[in-house]
Amino acid sequence: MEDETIIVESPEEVGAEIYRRVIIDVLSDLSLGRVLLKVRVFVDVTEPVFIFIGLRKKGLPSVKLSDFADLEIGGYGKPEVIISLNKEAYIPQLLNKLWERYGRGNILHKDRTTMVVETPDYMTEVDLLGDMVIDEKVQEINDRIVDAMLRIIPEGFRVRYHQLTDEYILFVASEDPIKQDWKDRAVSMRDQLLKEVGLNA
Amino acid sequence: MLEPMMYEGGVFKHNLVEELVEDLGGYILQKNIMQTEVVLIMLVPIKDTRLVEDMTKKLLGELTRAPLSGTEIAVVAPTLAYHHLPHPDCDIAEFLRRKGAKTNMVGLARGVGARTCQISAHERELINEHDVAVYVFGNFKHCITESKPKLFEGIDIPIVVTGAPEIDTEDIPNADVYVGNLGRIAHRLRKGEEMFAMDEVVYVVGKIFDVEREEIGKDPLSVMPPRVKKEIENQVPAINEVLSPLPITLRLKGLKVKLDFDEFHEQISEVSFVEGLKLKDIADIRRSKMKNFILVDIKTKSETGFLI
Repeated sequence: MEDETIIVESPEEVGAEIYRRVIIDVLSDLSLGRVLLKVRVFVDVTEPVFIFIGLRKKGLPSVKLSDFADLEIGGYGKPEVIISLNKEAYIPQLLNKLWERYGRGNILHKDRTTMVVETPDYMTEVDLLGDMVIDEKVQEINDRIVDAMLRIIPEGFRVRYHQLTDEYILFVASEDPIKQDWKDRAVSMRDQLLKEVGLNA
Repeated sequence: MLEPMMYEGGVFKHNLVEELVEDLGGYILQKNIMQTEVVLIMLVPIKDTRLVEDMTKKLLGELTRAPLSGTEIAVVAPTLAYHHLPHPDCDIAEFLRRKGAKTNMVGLARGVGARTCQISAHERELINEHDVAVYVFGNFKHCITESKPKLFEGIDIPIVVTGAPEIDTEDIPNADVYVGNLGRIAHRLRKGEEMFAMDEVVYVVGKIFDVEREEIGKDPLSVMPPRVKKEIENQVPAINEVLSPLPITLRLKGLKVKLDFDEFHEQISEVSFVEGLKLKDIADIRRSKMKNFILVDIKTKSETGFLI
């Protein structure tokens, strides 16, 4: 990542530089390098406080069944929906969702790329199935971001305050109760950053 | 005078090296066989090192000096969480091991935080069973000089501290040496400056041992720890069934025997020497905080009045 992407401020220069390295390592370990657009961090161990602001790129859309499969109604007189898969990657998630909705006995996994769903309401279900969300990328990325936060902040800082939205993550951590000053500082850092990229808080 | 050395080579005919060292009056401290490779850590009489070198050449092995042989080092981390492990703690421990030391990683239960860090009596005693403690700390000077020295309270052995910034050792209360350029690192330590810093850790630990050995030389131990190790191996058969990597670990002034204290301490204290002495006459035998093992602290000449 370029220099402008991650900036760590601290009264101690060496500490800030090494911390920048830690953040780069953690983000790349969790493949978050392309998820966070800009990162600003403020650390002062004398207070002690750790503030992390990360701007997120626009998230990936959720994956629907119709994105990777074709759906059709079964042969004449058969109350079933036939799913023909173009990609095998999502089969585990898909099966789980189908089992949950129709019951195991009503799902027939004929071969690797074909599934048959037996349902009396096949006429309406075929549209509904097409819109079924199979993989929620946003949720997974949120989990990874939170994991990264816990890895990045100093271990002893167990009192935390955070905001996680589609646009940014704001994290304040300390070993003492979080002061209003720190929150204000974090919010102003966040606003400044949003202004830099032309978004409004 | 014995020279600590490390032999690295193939398994084929490595027993020739072992036999030679034993014939010369030296000791094999540790033998690690890793598939087709073998690493021997040994003490060789200094005037005969030439013979071992010749043998090594013949077997196409490699012989290096292992200044940390026969010592046990505690690598202390504030906790055993992913903030500290596996890098840099394991990397530092690895570097120490490569020079012959036995390392133990000690993760404190509540070592984190500036105001909140603490060390328990049990942890303190555990660390004091080693020859040197290497504390691996983080990136901020304030933290290392102001908050963390609390963790050194009650530690009687030499303390080496590592961290990121450049700090004078005098600024850290109770620390013996400080090594910079390490600190909290979340990747494998393989860059030039990181390797230099780890070499520096090995170097300062080696220096501490040189001083300690010199001190011991002024009032020598009644018997050398490697000799006790050999006698225990010959007289206590149970030790051969211990699966720990180093069933008898040498320390500067004694050894740790990895057998249950309650069951075996009497057998250990009855270990006899050809001079007609028993181990209990020349050593204190006590319970280790580590897994109920047996600690043997060898008395000095000034205490017993003789050397064997």
